[in-house]
Amino acid sequence: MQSPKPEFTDLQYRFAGTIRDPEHVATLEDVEERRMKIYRELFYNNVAGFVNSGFPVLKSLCDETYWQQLIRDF
Amino acid sequence: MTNQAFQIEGAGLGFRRCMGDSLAEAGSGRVDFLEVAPENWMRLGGRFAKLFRRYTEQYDFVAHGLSLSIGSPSPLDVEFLKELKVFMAEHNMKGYSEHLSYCSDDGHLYDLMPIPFTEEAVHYVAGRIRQVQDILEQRIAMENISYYAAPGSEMTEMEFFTAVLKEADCDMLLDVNNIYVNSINHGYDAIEFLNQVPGERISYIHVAGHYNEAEDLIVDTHGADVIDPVWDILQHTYARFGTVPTLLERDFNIPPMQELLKEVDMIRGYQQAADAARLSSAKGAQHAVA
Ligand SMILES: [Fe+2]
Repeated sequence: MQSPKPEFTDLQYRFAGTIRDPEHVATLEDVEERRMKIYRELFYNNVAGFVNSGFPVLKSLCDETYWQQLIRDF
Repeated sequence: MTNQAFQIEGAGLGFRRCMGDSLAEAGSGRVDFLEVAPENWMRLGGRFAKLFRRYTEQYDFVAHGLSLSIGSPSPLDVEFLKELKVFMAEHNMKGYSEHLSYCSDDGHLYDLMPIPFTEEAVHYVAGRIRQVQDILEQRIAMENISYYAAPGSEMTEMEFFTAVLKEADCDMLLDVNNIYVNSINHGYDAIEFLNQVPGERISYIHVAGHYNEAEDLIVDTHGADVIDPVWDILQHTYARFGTVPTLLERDFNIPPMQELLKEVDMIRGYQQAADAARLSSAKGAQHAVA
């Protein structure tokens, strides 16, 4: 049997959730939007870094907007 | 728990794959120890494995992890830790450090998120650090991260940090750049913060550059030269806690090796100055007694 997760982990799921999917998970009440934006951008840049270096040919074939959309979905 | 970890000294450099040739050419004696992300080197074969072996035979190394996610709600990756233990033994690594943060919930986010500063989180994280130390059979060091938000805080960052260090009985990797970044972003005094650090637990120090987002919000990217306020905090650390081994971190926009080594030289310069100041004040005290 697994022990129940500590309460603070709920904040963690919501914090990570709103980085990943800001449209569906709201920013925590005690966090400023501009600060949350930094995390979203860091996350986006990290994923973009991986994807760009992993799929350079695919990137060269896509237009820029479509590519950014792909990365967001990733 | 043995405390043979972190037998390093002097001025170090974060080692990246692209430095394989340039560091060898730049001449020895200018770097005392190197640091690597074990995740980037553990499973390598062929040319890079040989190159790495050459370096670990020549230099003292520490492992600075990226993926442990010590504060994560998900279970620790015990298989990874067992593999890490073998890797560290094979290369005679002097210690393992990680970030006091989490980078995953049930999936990876590849970034360092702040653990809520709560009592419950202290116990949870300290328990996990103990578990890691048991598996590795050595003390590990936890690094203070830069953070841009503090969700759910019930205590200050320093209260949280010192409580974790004490309860886990682990060491600290003090990142002076992160102190500077956080002091701007959260409006506190960097030196006051530093003065509360449990100095006896510092195993080594990180210095790095960062990127300015706004006057009151700056982002730590490890992608720029070290700036003056950070050198000031470093000097203050030496004066207060002694000459602690210190490593230059540079992850992006990596300049030519000669320029990196100039910053390593600066670290060494500050260390020598701190030693000299200590010596002369000791002599001064002797003189006063005589
Ligand atoms: Fe660091």
